Parts: sequence; structure tokens; C-alpha cells
Amino acid sequence: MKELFYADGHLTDDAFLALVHNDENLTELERLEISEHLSFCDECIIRYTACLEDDSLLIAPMLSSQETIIKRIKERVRRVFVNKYATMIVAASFAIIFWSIGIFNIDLENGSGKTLNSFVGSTYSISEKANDFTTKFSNAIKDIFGSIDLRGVSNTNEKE
Amino acid sequence: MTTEKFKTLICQYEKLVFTICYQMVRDYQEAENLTQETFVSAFTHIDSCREDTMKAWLARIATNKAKDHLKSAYNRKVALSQDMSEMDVIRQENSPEQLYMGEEGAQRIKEKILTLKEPYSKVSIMFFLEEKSIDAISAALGRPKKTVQTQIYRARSMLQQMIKEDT
Repeated sequence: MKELFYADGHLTDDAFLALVHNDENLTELERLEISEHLSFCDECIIRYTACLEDDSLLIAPMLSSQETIIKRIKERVRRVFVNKYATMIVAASFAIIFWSIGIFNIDLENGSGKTLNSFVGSTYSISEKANDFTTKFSNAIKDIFGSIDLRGVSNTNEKE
Repeated sequence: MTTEKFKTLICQYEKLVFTICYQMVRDYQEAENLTQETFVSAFTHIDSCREDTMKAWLARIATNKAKDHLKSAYNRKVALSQDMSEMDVIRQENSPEQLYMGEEGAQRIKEKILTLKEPYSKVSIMFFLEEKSIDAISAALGRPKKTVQTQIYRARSMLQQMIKEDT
């Protein structure tokens, strides 16, 4: 049985040979151990890429994934964009709704400030305006979501 | 980075990334999928990489993707086999470890630990015998904490298996 690791923890030349030549005796656990080591060891990843310098050892996929990769990147960018702005819109909507139903209004009965009393009239008028605005805003949101085609947004192949 | 420049990068390194993924997972379809995932991740973090280290950087991402795939496949298998072994333990009155501990004692387990090979040897000695913490082991060996935890978990399973075989 081949030794895959030296006593100092680094990968042996046999390990790289077994990997590069697709040795069938290399078990799934051994490949997992090797990949775990390569995921943090700079020295061994450099040795591994050096082993793959020879172009004849490289395997070409039957079809280039270039277009699929670009498509996946665009989908991801779009998804991030939609998530970001949808969150902002929802947060803004909640803020406006809370404002319009008076959650942010200060209890003036218990307050003593004269300055606050001077705002009473304007607060109510602002609330009415906010109500109108919320209704218009909700209708606009409905129109936006009604017109979006969500089929392109979902990505069932994406694992992450 | 522009789309055109990134396409050139894909052309340049696609074979290398696919080869690494294939050599790790040994499954053509999965290697293709992991190759795509590698480049998608690379695009997201491309600004953190220098041109001269691009090759090793992409190789690192590819091995990470392959590792995640192999790990989830391995964990699924282990979970299944553990379910079975738990049933065996229920059937017996005492677990093998309990029997072993009762008959032979800790010295024999220590001997078993010393027979483990890398990447489990040092981790097991430090954790089981020297009773060092995960943080201390991670710092001493320069391995990520998660890797140390996984290696301890697997070493424990291996030791349990050895004990079972002995009894």
C-alpha cells in the first residue's frame, strides 16, 4: 500500500503520481484526505500544479463550459441584485407603513415639551400623506412584481 | 474584470481545473459541474488574486470544491453505516469499546493511536493522549480548525473500528 503522507504531514510523490495517473487503487477517503490537505497547504498545491505542467496529462472536457459559466455568473449577479433591492424595498415599505399607522408618533399626552405640540397638526397631515403614498407605492410594487418573469431567476442547478 | 477577459481566463485554465476536479472526484459529470462552480467562485473573488499566482489559486479553489463534494458523499456513507452499527450495538448489551475498556484498559487504546498514520497520527496523539485543544492543535500543525475536527472525528471512527475488530 502506498504512503500518501510523509511523517511531517505533507503529500508524498506517490500521492501525486496516484492522483495524476488516476490510480484506481486510490479510494474515495484517500482522495478526500488529499483534497483536504491541498485545500490549505501552499507547498503541496504548488507541487501538484507543477506535476500538471505537462499538457499531455491534462484532460479536456468534451465541451467547453465557457458559455455555461458566463451564464451562471450572470444569473448569480442578477440574483444578488434582486435580493439586495427586494430587501431594501421591503424594509422601506415597512418603514412607511409603520410611519403611516403612527408607530413612530410620540405620546404627547405624557410629554411636556411645547415644541412637540407644535408638530401635532403637521404629524397628522404627514400621516394622511403617508397613507396616500403607501397605497400608491403598494400598487406600484404589485405592478412591478406582476411584470417580472421569475422563471429565469431561479437556478435549481446551483448548489451554493 | 470584463467578461471577455474572464472568458480568456476560462480558455486558459479550463483544462487544468477540469483535470484537478476529475482526478479528485473521478466522475465526469461531477467534474464538469465542479469546474463551473470553480470559475463562478473565482469570478466573485478575482480581485483578491494576483496574475502570477492565478494557476495555484484556481487549483486551490478547484480542490476546495472537490473536497466539499467528496466530504458530503463520504458523510452520507458514514451516516448510513453508523446507523447500522448503532443497531448492532443495541443488539449487544455492551458496546465494543466498553468491553474493550473493561478487559484491556487504556494502554491498548494508546497503542492503537500510535499505529495511526498521517494525516491522523499527530492530530490523534495531540488530542487523545496529550489532551490539547482543537485551537492548540490547529495552531501547532498549521491546519484549519475544521480540518482538525474532521480528522479527529475520523480517527475516532478508525479506532472504534480497530477495537471492534479486536474484540
